[in-house]
Amino acid sequence: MSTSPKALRPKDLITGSTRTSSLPEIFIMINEVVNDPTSSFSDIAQVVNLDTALSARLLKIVNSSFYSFPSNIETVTHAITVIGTEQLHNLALATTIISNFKGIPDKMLNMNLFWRHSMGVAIIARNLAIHCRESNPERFYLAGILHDIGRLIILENLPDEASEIITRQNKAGGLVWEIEREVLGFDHGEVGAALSHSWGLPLSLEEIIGNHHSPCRSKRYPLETTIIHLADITAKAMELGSSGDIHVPPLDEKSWEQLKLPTGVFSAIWSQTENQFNETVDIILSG
Amino acid sequence: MRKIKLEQLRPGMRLAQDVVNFSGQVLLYKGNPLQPKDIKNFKAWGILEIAVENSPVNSSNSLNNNRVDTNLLVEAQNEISNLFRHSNLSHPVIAELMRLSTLNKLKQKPGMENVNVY
Repeated sequence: MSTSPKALRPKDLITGSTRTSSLPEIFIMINEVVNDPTSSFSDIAQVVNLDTALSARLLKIVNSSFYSFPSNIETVTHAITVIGTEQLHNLALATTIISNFKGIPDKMLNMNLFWRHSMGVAIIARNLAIHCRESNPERFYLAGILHDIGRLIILENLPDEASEIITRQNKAGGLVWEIEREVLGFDHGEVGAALSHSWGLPLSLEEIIGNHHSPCRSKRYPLETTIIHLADITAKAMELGSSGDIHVPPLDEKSWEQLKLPTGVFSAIWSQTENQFNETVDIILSG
Repeated sequence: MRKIKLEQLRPGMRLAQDVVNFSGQVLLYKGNPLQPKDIKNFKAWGILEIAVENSPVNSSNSLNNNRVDTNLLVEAQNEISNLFRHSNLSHPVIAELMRLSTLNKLKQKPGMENVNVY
């Protein structure tokens, strides 16, 4: 390679990675059937049923305390009618992405802990969004699952730089994304945003993922980005999983003020999240 | 007047400000002594913080109030200080997360399983 790592751009990592060049087929199929206005719920259910692991997981999740519906939901069609196509879409994307990244060796990053952290952020963000009375809190779940995905891409495509980042962090105890900016010229948020862009995910996701460590940089979606920023901080304080860096990232104080939430919200979120996390984490991470 | 969290409310405390729901409707006027049903009502409305009048009795926050063994408390606080090394410890959000984190650590210590964390 003639180019030095400094000259790399986040999107170069995406095009060079087979794992990320395309979305899993099942997700594309679900996308198509959900976006087709002539589809019925049973048409959508038929596509979901093609992936037995996905449909089993979906049923387990809708029957867990995460949704706490009063009666047992036994068919995928019923599950879709109660949670809606938007949520189905997000759950399907979350579960397929997690299984897509399964082959990454545990040597540098424990994948189980990594996804536990991501799911913790996802659940906290959804709960924070509900407290902020944001419309469609479900979209925050997906943003939470994906917020650190850039780290996996750096790990796979630039293993030498990735291990240098880890060594430096262990030695000096700095913040991972700051060291990334020094070593690579960009951080895992920017890589995740490039991935989101190449997958054709909504612009809001791209901006949230890209700026989750500096929400003040988010121009169009400052509130959404702050919710993920805060969820990341809370998940670290709760010690749910690990993204490779156990330290609570610094709070962007100005962005927090925008949310106009009382600090009392955290004890409510803490207890809600504990229950939902324990009920759903193993369902999504198993199999 | 001081602001306390819903779970620290006790019947008999006096409201220092009206408690309103998100649409501005008054749930309870200031000066009223709290009854158990009011606390339930606030919970149902998702009220998180309530301003109450200072009272000489029961005026500390739950951390010092639960008669926790000081050694265990110090141990828990040491465990979390590394976690928060990059944080501005004087910010109210961080202070609250550290409080919850300390209580959570305490809950994991032997014999402390039943401490009410929230």
